[in-house]
Amino acid sequence: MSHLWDRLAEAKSRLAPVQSKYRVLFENPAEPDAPAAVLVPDPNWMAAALAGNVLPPIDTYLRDQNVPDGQPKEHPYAEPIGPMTEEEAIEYLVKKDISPQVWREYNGNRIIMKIVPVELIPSDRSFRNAWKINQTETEMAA
Amino acid sequence: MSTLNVSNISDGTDTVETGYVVNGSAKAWFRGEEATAGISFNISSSTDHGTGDYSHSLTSALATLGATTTNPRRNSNGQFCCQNESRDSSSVVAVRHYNTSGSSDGRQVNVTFGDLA
Repeated sequence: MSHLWDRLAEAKSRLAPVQSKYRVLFENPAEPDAPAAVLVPDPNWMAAALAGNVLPPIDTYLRDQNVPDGQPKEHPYAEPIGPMTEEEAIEYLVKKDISPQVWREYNGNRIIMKIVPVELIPSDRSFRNAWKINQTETEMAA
Repeated sequence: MSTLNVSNISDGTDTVETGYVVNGSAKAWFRGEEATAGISFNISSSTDHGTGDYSHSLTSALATLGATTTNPRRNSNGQFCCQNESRDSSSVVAVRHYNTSGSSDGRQVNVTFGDLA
C-alpha cells in the first residue's frame, strides 16, 4: 500500500484544486470567551476527496488521535476510500479537524457549530475577535 | 506512476544517501490569506481562530512535532510571526501573526519539515 503523502503528491499533480462553497463555523465549549472559529477546506484536499482513492477512512484518524507521537499511526497506510460528495467531505473534515468536544460530546443548548455557505461569513473583520455564532436564523452566520 | 529505487545520489563528485534528500524535503506548505489557501500541500483544512491566529491541519501527519518556518507575505507595520505552541501538534501547524498595532493582515507563508508518520 502506498503512503498517503505519496498519493497526495500524485493527486496534486493530476487534479485541479476545488474551492469549497462551505465553511464550518464553530465555538469550543472549553474556551467560552474565544471568538467563533472558521474552518476552510483546503482546495487540493477537496479535489482529492471528490476524486476518491486518495484519502484514508475517517475512523483511522479518530483512532490515531489516541496514538502517542513516535508510535506508528494507521491513517498513512490505510486502504483509501472512494469518491465523496462535497457534503460528505465537509462532514469528514468536521470529524477529522475539529475537536470531538464540539461535534460529539457537547450537551448544552447553545448552537456551537454551523456548516454555512461562504457568503454568510462576514467580510468585514474589524471586530473579528468578537464573532459569535448567531443563535437565531438570520442572514449572517456570525 | 513508476518508482526509482536508489540508495545514493551523486553529482559525480559528492554522494549522499537518498534518505537525506527525502527526509530533508518539506512535508507541508501553505501560502494564503487568513485560512484561505493560495497554494498548499498536505493540508486538509485551515482554521481562522481570530485576528492573527491560524492553524492548518495536516492530511498526512508527522511522526512528532514538526519544525515550521512562518513568514508574513509582506512587511507592513512591523509584521512578525511565530509558531503557536499552544495549538501545535504532529498533525496541526499553528501560527500567530502580529504587527506593531496588535492586528494582522493574515497573509502568510508556512513551510513544515519533519518525519512523516
